Amino acid sequence: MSGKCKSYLLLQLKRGLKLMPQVLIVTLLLALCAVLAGLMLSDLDEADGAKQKIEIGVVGDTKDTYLNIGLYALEHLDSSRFSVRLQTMEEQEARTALYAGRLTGYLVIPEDFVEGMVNGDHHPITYVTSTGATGFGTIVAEELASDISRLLLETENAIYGAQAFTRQYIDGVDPYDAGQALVERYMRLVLNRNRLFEVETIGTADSLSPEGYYLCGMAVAMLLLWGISCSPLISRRSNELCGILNANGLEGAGQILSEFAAFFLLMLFTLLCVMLLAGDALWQFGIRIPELSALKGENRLRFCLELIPVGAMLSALSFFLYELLPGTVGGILLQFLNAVAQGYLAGCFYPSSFLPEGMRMVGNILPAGVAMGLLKSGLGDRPVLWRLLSVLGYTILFLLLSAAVRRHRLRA
Amino acid sequence: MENDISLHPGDARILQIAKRYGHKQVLSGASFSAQSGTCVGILGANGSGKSTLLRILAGVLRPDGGSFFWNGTDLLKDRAAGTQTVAYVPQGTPLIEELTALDNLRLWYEKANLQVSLEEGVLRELGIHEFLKTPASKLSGGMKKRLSIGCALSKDQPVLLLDEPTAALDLAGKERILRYFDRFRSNGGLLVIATHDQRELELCDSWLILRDGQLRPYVYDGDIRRLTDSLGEP
Repeated sequence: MSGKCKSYLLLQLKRGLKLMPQVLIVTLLLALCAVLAGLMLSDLDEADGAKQKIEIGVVGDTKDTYLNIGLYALEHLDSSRFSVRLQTMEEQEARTALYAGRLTGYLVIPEDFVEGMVNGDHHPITYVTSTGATGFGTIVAEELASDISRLLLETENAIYGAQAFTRQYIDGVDPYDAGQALVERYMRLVLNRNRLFEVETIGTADSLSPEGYYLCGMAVAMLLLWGISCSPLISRRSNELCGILNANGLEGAGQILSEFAAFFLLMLFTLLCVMLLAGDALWQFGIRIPELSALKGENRLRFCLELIPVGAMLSALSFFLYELLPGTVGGILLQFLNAVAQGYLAGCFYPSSFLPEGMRMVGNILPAGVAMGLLKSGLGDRPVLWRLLSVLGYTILFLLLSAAVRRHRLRA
Repeated sequence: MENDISLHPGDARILQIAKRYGHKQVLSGASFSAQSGTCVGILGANGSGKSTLLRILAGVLRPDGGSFFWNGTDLLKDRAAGTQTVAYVPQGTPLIEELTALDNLRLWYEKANLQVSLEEGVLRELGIHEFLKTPASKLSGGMKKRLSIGCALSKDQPVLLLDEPTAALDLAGKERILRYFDRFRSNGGLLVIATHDQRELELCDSWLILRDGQLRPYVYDGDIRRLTDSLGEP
């Protein structure tokens, strides 16, 4: 290492130390904001969940008493918090409500539906939904409509089959009475169910618990946002100084390495502080990460150490972005957009399984996605070698790109 | 001990410097000669290429063509000789703002040389010892400029290139720096100043106007109106 490079490196480290309190405070504020936002979202979700109903409109011939009993049963079948609220309305009104997002969909019940069913005629109920409403509620409603149709059909088959069997093989029993008894028994069994299903969460993604998944997600999101905290270190760089250093033998690559070394060490120190504080906060609030508890001592340490290459890669990315857009305002804006976009696609905020296949594939190959993959594998105690190599590859790529941009700027 | 530049006297010959930015030919064969112990003023309208010329002579920017001979050595080809001969102070601030004046000097000076220069060399002459422990961000414009000059002259170079060195400085700061330039020239140094400033023009021994990418001799007699007419549009 040349004397100039060494001096520049030492001064950049000193500069990093001077800016440390400022960077640390901003990072902790960002972390606090992220935690508060997470808690608020979680509270909102729970509050919404408590009163969540799938709003479905009912249009058409609902005069039949039996149909009304059925609709009432459907509305009150499940006493759990997720249930269906049915609203009788005109089709035009239902369509308007669907467009406005007030309904998940609506059922069109054809004229004389029940009578037709009794006579064996086929008048299907139409379920109208919108493509914009393809949320969880719509998927559930579609499944519900499909399952109820199947239930009705199979039940009808069973009743007619039982009546035919009774008529043919059992003497002294009125087939109609037997059928009626069967229907009553069926209804009694169904209506007695308070809860027809049980949900068991076996993991949000890659078999990690939600706590484990969000630990990885928050770690990557914080490292992405860290680029904003350390803007003073990069954006206040003097271009004049870089030019003169270049003329004096310290070329772009040497400058980049010295500056990045300071940037990276500052990141490591900040990361350590945030980890200690976050660990303490998790302990205080009684939040346990099952995967961390399950990991043996050395593997737990390995998981913590995996944050270092991830930090190096995401710092190199931030560094490269500042090199591309060195102004303070533009640089911070670019960092923010990068953090939000990559964090979203990589599944830091929501599990990536919620995303369409194409977006998920893109997310997985982005730096944040690779970082998530490495941390998830580490936490799940699975092999990490190729993911680690990808992280290192990205780190080198971003540093080379930064050096190329610096070289171009120095020559311009 | 004074800053003994007279040990390295020399002649500068700048030949056919050319530089193009995209479609714009900024310099097209700019040439001039100067001797140590003199001050050359480069004049020109905004955007005429004064800063580009100085950046090329300092080795910061690569020219499309041309040479800068100092005692027979082409400094644009021999960069090691170039850094030993030419000091450059840009218009902006080539300092690390968060660090003290002393830290900034450490980037350019070796430990032993720094001490000597602070006690009896160029740094003493510039009065930098007065604010050694102050962060660069807290220094006044004049102090920053003195510090920049101190950093640039870390190798006691005989040629000092300055890009509008006293622009935006108060009178006291300006006078202090100009006094130092006068001493530098008296000690045998060659000053090349890109300037619009009347006081800096008065300090110069010869003047050149940069127009249409070429340097033309000019005699400054204090008539600003005539000078303005000569500069023309960029």
